[in-house]
Amino acid sequence: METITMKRKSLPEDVVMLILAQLPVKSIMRFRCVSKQWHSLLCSSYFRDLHRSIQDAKGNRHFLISLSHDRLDLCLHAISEDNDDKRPTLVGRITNVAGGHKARLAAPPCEGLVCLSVDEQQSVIVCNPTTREVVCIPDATPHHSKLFDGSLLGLGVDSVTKEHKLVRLFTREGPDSLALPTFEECEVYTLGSAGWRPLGEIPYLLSWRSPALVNGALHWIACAINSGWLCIAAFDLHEERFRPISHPSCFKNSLGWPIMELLEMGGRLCVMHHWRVTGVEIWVLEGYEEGTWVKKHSINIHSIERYHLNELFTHDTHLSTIITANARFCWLSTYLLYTYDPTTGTLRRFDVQSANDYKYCNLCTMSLIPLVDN
Amino acid sequence: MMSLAAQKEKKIVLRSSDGEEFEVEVATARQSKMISNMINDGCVEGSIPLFNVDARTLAKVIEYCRRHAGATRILDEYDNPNEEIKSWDATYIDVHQTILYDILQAADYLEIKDLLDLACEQVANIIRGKHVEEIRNTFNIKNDFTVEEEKEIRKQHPWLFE
Repeated sequence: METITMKRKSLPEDVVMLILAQLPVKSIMRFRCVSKQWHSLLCSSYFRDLHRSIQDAKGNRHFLISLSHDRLDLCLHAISEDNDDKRPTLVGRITNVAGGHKARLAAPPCEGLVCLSVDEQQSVIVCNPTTREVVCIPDATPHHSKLFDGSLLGLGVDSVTKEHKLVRLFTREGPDSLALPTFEECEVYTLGSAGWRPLGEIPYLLSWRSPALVNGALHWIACAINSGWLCIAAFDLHEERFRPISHPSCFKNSLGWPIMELLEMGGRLCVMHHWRVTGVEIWVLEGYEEGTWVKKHSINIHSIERYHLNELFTHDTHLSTIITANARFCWLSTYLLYTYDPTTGTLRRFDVQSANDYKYCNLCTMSLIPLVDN
Repeated sequence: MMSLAAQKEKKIVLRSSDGEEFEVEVATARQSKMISNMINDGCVEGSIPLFNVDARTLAKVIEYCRRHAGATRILDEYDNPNEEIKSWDATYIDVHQTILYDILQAADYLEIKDLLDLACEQVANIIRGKHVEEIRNTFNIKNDFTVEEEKEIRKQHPWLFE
């Protein structure tokens, strides 16, 4: 009886699309083999955008990605946005993401794509953890393959062509165990193209901290070569050129490289400044063109406990701050995960020693962006 | 434009495809963008014939529109639908699949966006775990892939079919 009713009138195509856009990615990808028409519908960019807007409205597009303890697998954790007390739970695992080699998260995710570097092979892969597609990126150009590669990359979208681009940094100095690496050469790769394009020398020393994607440009904390001043260098992904942008006043009194990170929050550039004793300050670039920086949040770590200072201020500490979809901050110092809710001013700390699956992690969005032709 | 009070008093008549007439408040009828446009254009004298909606479905759709027109605050202070409406919606849409598909088609035809979204979400919840073959049956779709073609697609992502 039921199927007869269904068959009486078939649903219009746009209604079918609305239904399918509600589904999780796994179901969508499975239903691609229902028919040729469904295959092309579910692979279309129209459907991709519809799915993104519906899932955005539901607020369930985000998950945490991290590498397993042996660095062979990419792990996906669901996070509860409403409840910080709930630990991230493992929801998916891509085993041997780099073909059995040890991998490293090499750039903050962009539109659901994740960039990994494989140190022993000096190679780079890009993965869409949602669709589990993985592509190998060509090797660096011969000139750069001789230079020390910190395997530090930036991943972003060209605001005009909508192409995804990778920026890879190099230094002529070679690895130095005492000094923190800085980078003065780079090359660019457009996803799907044949090879890297060297950009030659750049007028900055770029820091080893992850770049932030805002306004179609990747931003690094940098040192201007001609003046020696600490600054923010913006790399426009369409023009493929560096230019300086304004920086907050906390840059002025800094000697050497301060413990700072650049982040994106709600389309705006932020500076997360980790202070030695007092805690963390967050500056937000309110007007990008005008260059108005505002100190938005001041988080007193000392008030809840001793911030693990020694660990935090050593060279190899991985400090990775992420901002969750509802503008909560999470950051990791060795074995500790902090979350901060700016609206209530609540700071929480989690010991992640027992589950360092997500010791090095980042926030990723669900995405149907294809890496290989379907 | 009529005042809100005047809208509440005024009623219009909807006629289902099987000839049954329903008298509804203007505010209720305006939940449908299609009928709202007709009201604005002044073509609601007499009754409005709805050729694609039968009486059973129309009664159900009116129930939804009446509840949503009457809800003074659909959104809370954070712009989220309030809990009361959410739980009412959940109970409302928990119907037999035959009725669900009728509601879906009526909501699409009458352009009631929130109801269409609600029904789509409900259908999605029903089908999300289904096998490909079940989907073909549910949506009455003929598989036009060859055995080899389908095998090839399945081979690309074996984890989907686990």
